[in-house]
Amino acid sequence: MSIIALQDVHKIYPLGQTEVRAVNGVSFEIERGDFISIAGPSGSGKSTILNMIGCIDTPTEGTVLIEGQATGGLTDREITGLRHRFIGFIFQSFNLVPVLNVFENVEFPLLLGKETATKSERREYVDFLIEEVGLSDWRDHRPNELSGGQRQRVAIARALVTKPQVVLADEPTANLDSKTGNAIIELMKRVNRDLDTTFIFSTHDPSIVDIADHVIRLQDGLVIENRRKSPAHEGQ
Amino acid sequence: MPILFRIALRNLIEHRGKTLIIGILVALGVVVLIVGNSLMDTAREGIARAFIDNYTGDIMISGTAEGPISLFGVQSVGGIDPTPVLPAYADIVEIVEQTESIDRWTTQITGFGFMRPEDERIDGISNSVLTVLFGSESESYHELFDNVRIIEGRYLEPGEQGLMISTDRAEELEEEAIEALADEDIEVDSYPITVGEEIRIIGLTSDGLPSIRVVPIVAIYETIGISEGVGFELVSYIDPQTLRAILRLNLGRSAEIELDDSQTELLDRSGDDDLFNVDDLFGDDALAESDDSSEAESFDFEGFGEIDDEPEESIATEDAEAAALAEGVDPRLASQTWHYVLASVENPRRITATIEELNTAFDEAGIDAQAGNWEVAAGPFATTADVIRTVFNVAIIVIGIVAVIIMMNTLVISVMERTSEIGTMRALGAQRRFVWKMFMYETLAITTVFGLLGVATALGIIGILHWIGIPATNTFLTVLFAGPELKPVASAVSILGGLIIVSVIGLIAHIYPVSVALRIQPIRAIQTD
Repeated sequence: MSIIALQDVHKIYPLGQTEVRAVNGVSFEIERGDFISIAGPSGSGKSTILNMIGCIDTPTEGTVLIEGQATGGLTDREITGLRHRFIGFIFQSFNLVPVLNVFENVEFPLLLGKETATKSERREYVDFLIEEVGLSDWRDHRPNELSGGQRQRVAIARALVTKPQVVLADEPTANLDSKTGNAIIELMKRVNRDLDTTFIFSTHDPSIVDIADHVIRLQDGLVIENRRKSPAHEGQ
Repeated sequence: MPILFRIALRNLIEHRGKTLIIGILVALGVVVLIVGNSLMDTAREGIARAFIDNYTGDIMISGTAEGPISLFGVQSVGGIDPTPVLPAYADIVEIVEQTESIDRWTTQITGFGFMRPEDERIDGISNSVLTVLFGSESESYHELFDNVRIIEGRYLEPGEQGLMISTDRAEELEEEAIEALADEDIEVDSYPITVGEEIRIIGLTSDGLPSIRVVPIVAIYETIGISEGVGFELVSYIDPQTLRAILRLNLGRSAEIELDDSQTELLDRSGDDDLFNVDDLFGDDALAESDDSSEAESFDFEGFGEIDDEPEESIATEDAEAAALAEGVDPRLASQTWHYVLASVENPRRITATIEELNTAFDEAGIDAQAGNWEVAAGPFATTADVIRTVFNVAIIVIGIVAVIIMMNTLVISVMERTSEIGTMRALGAQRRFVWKMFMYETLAITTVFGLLGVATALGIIGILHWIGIPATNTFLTVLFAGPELKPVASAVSILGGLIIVSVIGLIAHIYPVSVALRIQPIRAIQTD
């Protein structure tokens, strides 16, 4: 069974007297452990689809299924709980809490839900993730003391801390130079491989698109390509 | 430290400009409330103590009237209503004596009048001095109220006729006498008012008919425990027998007052000039031209209100009182005719209960009397502090509303600036309750820190004011401060009250900004920045 499915999803935004059709009947499925790129030019509907998958926006029409459950009928409290348990977010602008240091930012999502681990277990796991993203030396630094690449690494660690099934990354390399961007994508790929976490990221950078093993290409709110790389291709 | 506290505290530091704006408002609010309330409380306590200790006692018992009755009589619009004589006085005394919580009690009659030296060279009342006449049984009164220091002379003896005047009244009498003599082309450098000097008292009665008595000064005293401006500097103590005669209290209610032709004519006068030209009434012309009773000015006051012409009923009552005093009867009981019983209680906390007890006893006994506290007895003076406090409270409410608006705007701006942060938190799984708590912790932190800072500042200010004292620079402040200066003292109630009010204002100011924050959707995390 697919972990996420979109069925004939439409999203229309009102804009003054007119309306903008951001997504025009999109359907696709995502399997567990996928490393997916949603590609397309600006305005093609990439971010809108990611937002609907991440339950921070709702479709005007159609259905978003997460593990077979339609998200449309859920209350705000249930949706928030689902996001917390199931999804990790990596934002284009990093969106770290400015008053918290690296450790606290990574730990933050753990403190939003029910306590399932002891303080020492929590600290150990957060430190493990910080080490994984290569920021052990920056553990006690605030976001404004970090570079863009470092901030995005913190965001990745934060997205992974609740051990989500899916991590959504909306143009994670857009605010980074190409070298740093590639390193970030490589890091995401490694985590995808090591932890079997599904990664869905949007980008309009062709060089990054090719790293994904499942590419969904959009144009004018429609899927124009839904291509899964063969296992043989994966190694290249 | 919980994450919410960490975020709240660090946000306050991070947005220190806005924190300072709100914090200063909070601290200022606390300072104004605590200092203001301390001033009000101290002034009120001062007024209460001044009245209770010096003039009203803890409880005043009076008869009843249409208007409220204070120690100065009935407060009425457009005239002097007669102060009711205590009905069933003996029964009231019995109830008072049986009330265990009452420690001491005395009696009093209050009247008003003008006085001037009894000097054949001086006439008219234009140079007379206004006085409030307190007729009381001297021993029990001055035992209850330690409010005078005799400069010259001695206290009145039971049954003795005489007057005790304050130095203030004595100086006034001297000044007015010199002026009156100057009007008669008699130049004198001084006119010492001394013990033994005979004073003519022209009493003001509720029926509008003047009543005149001449009594000697037996004492000149300084007021202690209360300052000028409160009105008590006008007080003169007179023997109750004379005051009863001046007020014609010894006449039975049904007794008819026989007026001769000239008196009837006086009552028939309708012209304003005639009615209010007091010099015409009391001047030499009026007193001398008694042979022409057809003229309004010819009304002869020699035979009106003087002791010799007192009605027989009144004279008989006074004789009975004198006889009782001669037999050694308690002077408070020698006469049944008093306006007030003033009492002190052993335990000040029992005042209200004792008043209730007395009023219940009066009701049960069918006595038309009432007991009240010092505020009732002090009348309009007691309300001065209340009026000021009301004005202060209204000002606080206005300032509070302005503070709420300023704080609310500042917080809304803060929320707007943190839209992305709040949206991110919501996207990461923060429930609305988490966001609400975060802002509440910020409110709590800012209120606590700056509230305590405000308390410390307020205590410092109060300490300094207490040390230096706030001088009463005018009569109004003298009344308000119940003395020449005010030394404010902070109370736990005013500190706690100030903190609570400011906290409530802070919470009210947070309602709208927090509601804005709670409406922020997770998608705003990516729509901003």
